[in-house]
Amino acid sequence: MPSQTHYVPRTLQGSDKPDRDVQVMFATNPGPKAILFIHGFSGKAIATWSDFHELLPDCSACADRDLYFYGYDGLRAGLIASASIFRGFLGRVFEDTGAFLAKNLPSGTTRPAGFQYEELTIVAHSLGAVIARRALLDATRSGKSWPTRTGLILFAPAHSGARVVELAVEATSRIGFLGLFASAARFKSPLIDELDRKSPQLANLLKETLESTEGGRNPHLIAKRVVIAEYDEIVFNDTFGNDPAPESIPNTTHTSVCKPRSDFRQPLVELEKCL
Amino acid sequence: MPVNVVQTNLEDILDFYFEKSPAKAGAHYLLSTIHDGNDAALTRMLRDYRTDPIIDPVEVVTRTSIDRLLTCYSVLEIASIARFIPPMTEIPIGKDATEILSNDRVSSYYREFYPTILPQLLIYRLKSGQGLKVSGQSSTDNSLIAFMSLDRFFVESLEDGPLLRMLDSYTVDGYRFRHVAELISQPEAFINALTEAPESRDALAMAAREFGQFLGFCGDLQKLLERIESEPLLQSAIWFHYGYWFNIIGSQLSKMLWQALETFLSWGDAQRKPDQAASQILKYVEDSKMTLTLLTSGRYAAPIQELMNGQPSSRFAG
Repeated sequence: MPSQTHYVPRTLQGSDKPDRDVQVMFATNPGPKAILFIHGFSGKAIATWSDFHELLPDCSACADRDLYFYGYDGLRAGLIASASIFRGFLGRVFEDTGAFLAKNLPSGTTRPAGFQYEELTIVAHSLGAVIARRALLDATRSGKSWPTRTGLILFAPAHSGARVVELAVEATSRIGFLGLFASAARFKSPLIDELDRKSPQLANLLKETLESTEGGRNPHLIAKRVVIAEYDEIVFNDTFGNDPAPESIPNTTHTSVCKPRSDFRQPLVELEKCL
Repeated sequence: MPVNVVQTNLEDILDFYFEKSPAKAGAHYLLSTIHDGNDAALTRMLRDYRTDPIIDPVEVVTRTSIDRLLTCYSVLEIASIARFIPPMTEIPIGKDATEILSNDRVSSYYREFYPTILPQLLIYRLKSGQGLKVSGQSSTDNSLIAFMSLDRFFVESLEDGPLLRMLDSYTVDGYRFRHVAELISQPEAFINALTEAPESRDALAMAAREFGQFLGFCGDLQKLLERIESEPLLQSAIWFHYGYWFNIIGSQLSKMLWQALETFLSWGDAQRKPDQAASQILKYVEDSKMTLTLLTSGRYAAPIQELMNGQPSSRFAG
């Protein structure tokens, strides 16, 4: 009879962003590795990932990893600001791990003295991929060493542009077809320009990533795996920089591509291949 | 399961459903009133609102805190069925729950005025030292974690929102559910209500956002219940946790949502991919109707209901 591998999801302690929007499932028998999920536009940290949090504990490579579900305002916040907040969060997790865990671990549980995360796999969907890339790139360029302990796995990344209004309408309602009627929306967001196919922010992200990875440097800035949907009406699927060619999951859409279920485990399988 | 794991599970449940919830104040009110022997106050506070409405703001707050305490007890019963927490008879909150749920006035409240199954199962567990339990363990841990995540979403995003109150026949800031249905009949207005900035959202715009979220929650709940088909008692207990919505007012809720859903079928062609729109709308409407039909059919009530009906009347009588 397998024992419980993770504790109940808990919101991080702290009333400020991003902690109040981050949920974590601490491993009951933890190792030095963790996985962090960062969603696209949907406001809820866990909801985007559907059954990932239920299926992951059954994955042997995940049993001893802490599972973070990072939340943020994916609809109205600017790209650079969201990336900056995410970078700050990662900095705390890596550079002040002891205090961070002491504040958030369940009472009665501890980690060994000097506990550090040796590896954090960042699994990002849609806009989350752009934010994660920008955060890791900026941290790398500012001389931080912790980004080398990260790895990127991307689902339907928006790093080559996205139709923001369609996604906003879908994400706020959880009604999939509404995106087709998005032309009626008066939605305002800085992301509409920032995720335009020709936006300077995306062009800079690509240019700076290519510069930073030149000559085989900073391999953590290159995604380990890129997974795309067969039917994606939201993002453009051009390969980004030196990323591997994307793997497509049949019969999925932009929103379903990162939602494993007990009868549809492909997104989980794609993740497991990289762990 | 190791002792420290079930103990931590208990602390996690209590942190969310008791310590950081009005439930704590509800427990304090009930215990102090019971200890004071103030039966008249208890009778008054726990009266049937259909015969004597609850209007006084202080009473509203106290009644809410008592309802949240019963919610906490319901979650503890579900966790006990799944053997996810230590035995309730061995922990302090079990002692308080025994005292509170055994009280005649409180008992009338959750048995007669607002029939709620899970507190009845909990008091039986506490008094007899026995209770319902799952047959296995390996898959139920993850199912419990999935339930906790789902219920957290329900509590944080839906429970106190205008949509559920409207579905419960209340008027919220001048809006009733028919206004939500009317809004759905106007695609442009509905979509703009969804993307309204938080500071300018009124009750109607909030209910419009919650409409899709609630149906999404129903779909997630239905999927969770399907996944634990092999544990019918746990499945039934989780369903009874939402028994007010899917059982007590289930037919009314289903009818209202069903009618609103059909409004989508009259939406015109989408400007983008018009050929896809009609089929996607039809699928969404049919899938949502199926989910509502399953959740309000009563099939998930059966395992626990039959058990209770099949027992000597005294067994679950507290």
